[in-house]
Amino acid sequence: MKALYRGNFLLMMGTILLAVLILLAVLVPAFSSYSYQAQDVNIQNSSSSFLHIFGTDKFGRDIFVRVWYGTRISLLVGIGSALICGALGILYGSIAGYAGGKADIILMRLADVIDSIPSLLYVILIMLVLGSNVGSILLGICISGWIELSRVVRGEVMRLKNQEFCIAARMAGATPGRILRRHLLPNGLGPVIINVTFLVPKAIFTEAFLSFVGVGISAPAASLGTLIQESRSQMLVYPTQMLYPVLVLCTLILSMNLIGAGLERKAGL
Amino acid sequence: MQGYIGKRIGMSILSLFMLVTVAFFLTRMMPGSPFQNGNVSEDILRSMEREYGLDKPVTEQYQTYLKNLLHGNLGVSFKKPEVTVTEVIARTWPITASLGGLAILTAAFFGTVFGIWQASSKRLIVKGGIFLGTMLGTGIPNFVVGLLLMLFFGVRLKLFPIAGLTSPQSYILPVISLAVYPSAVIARLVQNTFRVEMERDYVTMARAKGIGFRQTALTHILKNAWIPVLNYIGPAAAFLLTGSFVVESIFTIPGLGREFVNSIGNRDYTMILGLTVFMGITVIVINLFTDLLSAWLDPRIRRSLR
Repeated sequence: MKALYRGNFLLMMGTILLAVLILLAVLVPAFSSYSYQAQDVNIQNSSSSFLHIFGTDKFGRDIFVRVWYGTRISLLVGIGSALICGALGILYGSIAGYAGGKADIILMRLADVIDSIPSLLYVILIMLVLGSNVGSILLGICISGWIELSRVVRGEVMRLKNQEFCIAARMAGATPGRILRRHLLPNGLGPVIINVTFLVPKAIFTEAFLSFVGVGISAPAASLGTLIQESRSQMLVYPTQMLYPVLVLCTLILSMNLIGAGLERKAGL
Repeated sequence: MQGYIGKRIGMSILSLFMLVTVAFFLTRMMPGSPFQNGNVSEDILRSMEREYGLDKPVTEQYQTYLKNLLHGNLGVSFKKPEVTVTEVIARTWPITASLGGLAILTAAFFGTVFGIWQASSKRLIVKGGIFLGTMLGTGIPNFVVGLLLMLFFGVRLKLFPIAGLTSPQSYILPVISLAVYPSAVIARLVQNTFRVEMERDYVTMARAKGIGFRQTALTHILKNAWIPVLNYIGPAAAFLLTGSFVVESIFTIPGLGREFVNSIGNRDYTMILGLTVFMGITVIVINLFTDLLSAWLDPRIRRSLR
């Protein structure tokens, strides 16, 4: 009972944090009177004030708006790649698991080969080829991001496909597609959802890293990683300019991790 | 077991081949010529491309590259024609490897200690505290850790040097920034398996025979709890390599990662390709070794492979 309560507590904390972040990321850039790219030479590097809550950067851009605009991009990359990788992983894993035999061995070996190469190297190369935008980051992350999930899905499908309800469905003449959709996946949903949840912070991490190295989102658009990178040149003089994007980025990753851990605890009971 | 080793090595070779192929063609697809420089005339550009063999068809270039690679020759840098990629790797790799090695040792030690502590403690404050710590540890990117450590300990308190690798003290901050994330992951892994293993009969048996908790934990449980950690260390090596990209450029350490970041900035394609191939090979080889090691150490895996 206590464990259940604690599991819910993590989940609750994570959900509340994430909801607040999403709200701010959607509302602040939409309703603020400043734009994320408008420069103003009169107010360079100003500190926090009523007009500019987080102050302004070296081009006089409002950091509050930029931080929440950056959160928007980070969320987009995180959730977008989780959805794409989720769909790919579920499809691949369920085909391999349901087909079994030789097809399964070939498919999973192929996945092993793709997985054994450090994906970050690929992501960097792809960014250099296709240019710095959200699309190529998504593509890069999704090349190998689905593999772990597909292993989980395959395991679940293999565990479930020979149980009575599934055999019954097959005897009643249901097609493999229908069995997967209606019978197998709903039953194996728990571990799958947990895995998809953990894909989000991983993608946000990768995007922030790429932007920090300088191959991520390019100016004047900004993700949280770009903001941290930009403020680095003057971090000795204006440390707060770095602190705000750092805090938001950590809170974002933390909230997703909390949700994942909460779900995990709940499923473990 | 021999069949397994053979299969595993074959897979690694296949992965290596795929890595080299994809990396090669991606690099060739990158926009622009490395010699394009505004004031270079068309003729000179063409003769330079001829000198580097860039005028030949891509498949022929690819064959040459593979052949050279088998001889350990990764080509010369496009930007600095007097250095070969192999020389750069020979110069920078020991530095990166020493940082990464220290970081993984630190992470293994602290991760195990905190994991055992969290699993075995009965005090809620210890359990909750370590849980929160691992949550934060996996939630903060390592470049942020590096920047914050540098700002606080290096600049404010002036306790540690903030650039270069000249003295033993200058290892401390970069190693910590690299070790935070893997420590948190290892702590979580150890905690999970430890909690399960503590309920097992052999632990009760050992305790009933009068063996102290410390000895049971260290000699009996840890043996089992360490297998998942070992499996994590392979991928962690990959993470440390990529982590060292940013940590090295933050602390201006002349290692492989900084060289890679610089070559991205310079669009030095042979360097990018060479370093990618080298790092990929390192990671694949480390993964191979940890897999074989854990198969050899764990009788359950060993028996299932036979």
